[in-house]
Amino acid sequence: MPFSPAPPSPLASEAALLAAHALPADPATWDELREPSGALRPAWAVFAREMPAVATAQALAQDLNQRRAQVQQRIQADGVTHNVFTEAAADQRGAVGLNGAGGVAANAARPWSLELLPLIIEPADWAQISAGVLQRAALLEQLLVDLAGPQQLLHRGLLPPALVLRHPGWLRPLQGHRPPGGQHLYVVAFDIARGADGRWWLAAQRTQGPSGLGYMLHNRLVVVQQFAQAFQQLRVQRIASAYRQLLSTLEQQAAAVAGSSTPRVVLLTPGPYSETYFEHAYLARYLGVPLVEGGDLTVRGERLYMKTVEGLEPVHGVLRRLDDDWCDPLELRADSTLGVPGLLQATRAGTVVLANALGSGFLESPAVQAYLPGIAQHFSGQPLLMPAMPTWWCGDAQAWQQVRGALADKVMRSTYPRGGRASPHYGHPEQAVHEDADAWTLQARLPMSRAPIWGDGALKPRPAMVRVYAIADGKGGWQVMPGGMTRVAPSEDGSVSMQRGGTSLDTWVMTNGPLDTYSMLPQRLQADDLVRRRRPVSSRTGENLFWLGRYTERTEQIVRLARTTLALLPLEVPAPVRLAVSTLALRSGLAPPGVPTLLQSATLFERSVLAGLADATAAQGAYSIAYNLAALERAAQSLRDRLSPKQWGLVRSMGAGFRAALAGSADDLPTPARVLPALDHLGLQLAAVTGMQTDRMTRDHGWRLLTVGRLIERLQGVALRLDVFVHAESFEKSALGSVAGVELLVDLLDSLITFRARYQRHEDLLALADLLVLDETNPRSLAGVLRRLRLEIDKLPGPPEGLLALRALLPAQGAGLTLEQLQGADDKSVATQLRNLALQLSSSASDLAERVSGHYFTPAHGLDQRV
Amino acid sequence: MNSPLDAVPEAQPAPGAALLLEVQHDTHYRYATPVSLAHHLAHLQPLQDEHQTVLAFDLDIDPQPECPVPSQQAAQQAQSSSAAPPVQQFFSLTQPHRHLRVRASSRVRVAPRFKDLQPSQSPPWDDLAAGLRHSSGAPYQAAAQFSYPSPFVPRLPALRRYAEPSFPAGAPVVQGALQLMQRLHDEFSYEADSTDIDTPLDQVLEHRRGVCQDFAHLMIGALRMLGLPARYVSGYLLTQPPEGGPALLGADATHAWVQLWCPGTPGVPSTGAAAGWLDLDPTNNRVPGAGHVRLALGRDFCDVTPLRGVIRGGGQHTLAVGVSTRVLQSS
Repeated sequence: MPFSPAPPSPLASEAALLAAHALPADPATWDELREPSGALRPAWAVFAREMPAVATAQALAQDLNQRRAQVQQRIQADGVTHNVFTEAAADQRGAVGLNGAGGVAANAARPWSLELLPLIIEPADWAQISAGVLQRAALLEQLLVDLAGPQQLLHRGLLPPALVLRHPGWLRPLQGHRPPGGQHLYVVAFDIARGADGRWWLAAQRTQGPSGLGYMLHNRLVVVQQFAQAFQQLRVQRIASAYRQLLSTLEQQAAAVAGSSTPRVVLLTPGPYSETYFEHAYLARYLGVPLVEGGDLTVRGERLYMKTVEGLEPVHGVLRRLDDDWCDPLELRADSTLGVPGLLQATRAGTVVLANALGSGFLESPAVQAYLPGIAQHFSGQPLLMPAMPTWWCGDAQAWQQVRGALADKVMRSTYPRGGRASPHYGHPEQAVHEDADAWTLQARLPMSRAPIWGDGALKPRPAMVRVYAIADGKGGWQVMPGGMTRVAPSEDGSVSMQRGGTSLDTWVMTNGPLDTYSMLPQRLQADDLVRRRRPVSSRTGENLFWLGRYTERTEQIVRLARTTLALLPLEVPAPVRLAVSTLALRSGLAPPGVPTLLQSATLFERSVLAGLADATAAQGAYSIAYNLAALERAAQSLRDRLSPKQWGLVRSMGAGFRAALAGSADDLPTPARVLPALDHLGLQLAAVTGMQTDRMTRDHGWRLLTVGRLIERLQGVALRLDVFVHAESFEKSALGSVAGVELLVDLLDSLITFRARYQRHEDLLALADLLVLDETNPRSLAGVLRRLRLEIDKLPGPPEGLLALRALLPAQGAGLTLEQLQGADDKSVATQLRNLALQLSSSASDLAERVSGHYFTPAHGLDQRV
Repeated sequence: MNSPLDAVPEAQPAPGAALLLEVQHDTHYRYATPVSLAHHLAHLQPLQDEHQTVLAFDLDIDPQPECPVPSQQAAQQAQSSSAAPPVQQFFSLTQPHRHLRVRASSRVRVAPRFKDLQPSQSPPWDDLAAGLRHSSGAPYQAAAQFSYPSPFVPRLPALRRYAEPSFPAGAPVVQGALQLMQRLHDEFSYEADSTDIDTPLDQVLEHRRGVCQDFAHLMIGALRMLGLPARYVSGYLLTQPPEGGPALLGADATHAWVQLWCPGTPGVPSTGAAAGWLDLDPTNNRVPGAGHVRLALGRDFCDVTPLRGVIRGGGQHTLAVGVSTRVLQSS
């Protein structure tokens, strides 16, 4: 489209500068940016005025470009992602393995797409939206109450039975059952759009586990940062209290079923591969509730429990993001591994509140819209305040007769959900309706209003759809969240879908009334709240934390080993030392099995170590640095509701940074000169991650498991190094037979400074044993690691007998070897004792890891099968 | 689950005789590795209505469930007179186990039904179907829900084509259904193990062979494609014991057949829980009498699976099912 910026003029108003960039919108649609005269709408004029003063349209463009880049950087930095499904993957949803620490994502995780400019909704418009949405939310609840009881709507022909009873979202096992507390819907989402006449129309409604609440929150944080002044001036309503409302409604209802015990509420996610997993973790963090997958929950005797590292903890409320039919493989979809067997029994027994209650999925059918006006009349005698896009259900012969001659301006939609996300396939509409009329619904096309987005130096008009949310107060009332998740189509005539390249906008709802400045975060807590907010650690979270600790330590060790190995290559060192280093490299995963040792071919050895560094999938057999970083990232990914954004950001940037530093042409190995600084940098980052894990995390049972994981890994690392360095036909032929070998080992265990300060004769084996084995004050000596391990084991949850059994796997005191035992012995005998100790502790460490896993984690794992 | 014996003609009771039957239904799972947690759902208790009285029922589960859950009345159809609610039993096992044996023992009195059936006096099938369409303004019929597709019975245009020759315009619905049953019986061969429960219906239709479940699903699907309500009956069939001996234990099997909704047909109950429903057994091409014991009714197999579960662990498993039916008394 031809476009020439206005001539630069220092006198031009800000509004004119902004308007100068605007591409024309389709005149047959409502322009959110401009009046028909071409002038900016009042809200946008204020917005323009509150932008930083610039003199020219060009300067404005520059400023906006910069801000747009900042928005994208922030999304990168915060790791806001969105999983995009391929059609095939969508069909297999639920069949995907969901092992927290392992598994490979079947779909692409894309950075969340957020536009710089908000959609601004003025008070009068919001009043229309809000009234319409409140009425509709209450109506849907009333409808569900009727269908769970007298079913007047069916008997009076107000709702065709085929729309309810044929819909897979109508759950037969729950027929006739009211949910505990009587509330069906806690949150309902309405997708609305503005027509050419400026009125808002309803396009669709979501009643199961509507998505967007988390992204919406993050969108707000990011966009407000860019336009803080305009945000103030436009008197934009805050959204935080609506989140509080959602949680407190659920908590109230959960309290009623919990009786005298403290109600426990969790957020149920399908898992890391679900489309909107980011926001599940984000919301769980924000609301302060545990994020759980189906495997973290279990039903015993009609009650729902969460598997925690402390045993089974009762759960009374579930904020769910798992669609209805996946929730219980015993009575619903049998091919689902995402749900909780027995959940329906618990909900029928009234021992757990689900938000939303199961069985409302049929309301998502577009065909229902055709009957809601009549149902509203029936219940309240009132017409609907907000119209839905005109809808005809083809199963109604009269409706079909009415529209069959005028299909050009209608969209044909599937009445019932189809497998996967594929658009419905049908040949000719007449033929499709002839085959199965009930399955089709026609909807009028609405020319959606055009919202401005900033890109390529211009304000481009894009079709916009806003998702707004109604939240129940649990007492029959509803509240509309004053904001929304606006999505725009990727092109002027495209469809609006985040799956198909759409992008999102922050949604600013202006008010003339007082601003609610409630913030979720700083609030005065009651003693009860404190108990409730002490989040239990699910077995899966515990396991992921344990592995986070192990992988962090393992990565630190291997990075240090890689540095030492590569630095050693050009140096003259005795053969036993070179052999020890290559053995260690092999056994640590730095070099693949079968590679010649350093003695046999230094060149080949070096090449294979270099080649392995960036191999994240261990394709060549080396479980080297990139592999460990990826494992670390996966463990952290599953812990996003617990880790600080900083820690998660750092973990992600370590992997990306290391890959980038080593990236070169395909057949070109990175040189040690390039690798060594990257390793140094990585070492520092790892130290920072370790620091956050040690100092910045709450010391609950989860943290303790992380620490135990780290210490077990360290115990194994120290023992392995000692074993490799001391092992030889004779002591003289071992790596420790030379000063170089002794210093190298001490350096690998990060103890060189102490060693040099404390001991004069470096080849003295007793000195080495003292520092690396016996000294409890050295955090990297065997005794030091064991001392801490014993301390942390004592604080693990569980009965004392269990903890004693764990402790019994370790020496009762010190490292299990004393200075007295070593004194007077010759080097050979000291070496033998050290090696035996190393072997014994290495196997103790493995046993301990296995016992800890079996004790605290196993219940969450193992796959369910239907028989 | 089905042995060829369910194709054997049922024992012929004296016309008009009620039967007192005893049924023992054993289900035995053996697991390769221990199952650490299991949730099960059973539809093993015979239903109760005007024609069938359950005199005794016992469910014996080994190992003993730790959390036995009382029987639940599930799927209550509010205001519905179409069926008594099926009785379900839930139970779970929370201790590791390598096997599960569930033995359901029932004593049932079954009265003869459909004695005076007059197929030619049944309503025209097309009027019946039209009356269930929404736009007709006809009163709500709970039976309409059984005219919709269900998980095991998808809509297949080929099934409509198969059914149409038996249903010329205005034909009495029961006449059409009997002819359809006859054709299914003649044109499909009963072959044990030729299908399993996951064999899609279109394959059964294509290969023209299957077991009783498949024939029930086929017939239900064909009737539904015409807009007629049809449902799935899970049950037992009394089979002819070998000459001179008692019925062989475990030689029988669970059976499945069809119910067609044809209110107003002479000979079909017009009141009570079974009002308007006529049983049809396409596997044996007959209208069931007192030798068919009804366990549960549903849209298809998935609603009334005799025993199912979700287990953790277990590895590979084997399943053995044995049913024996015995006449205690004929009156």
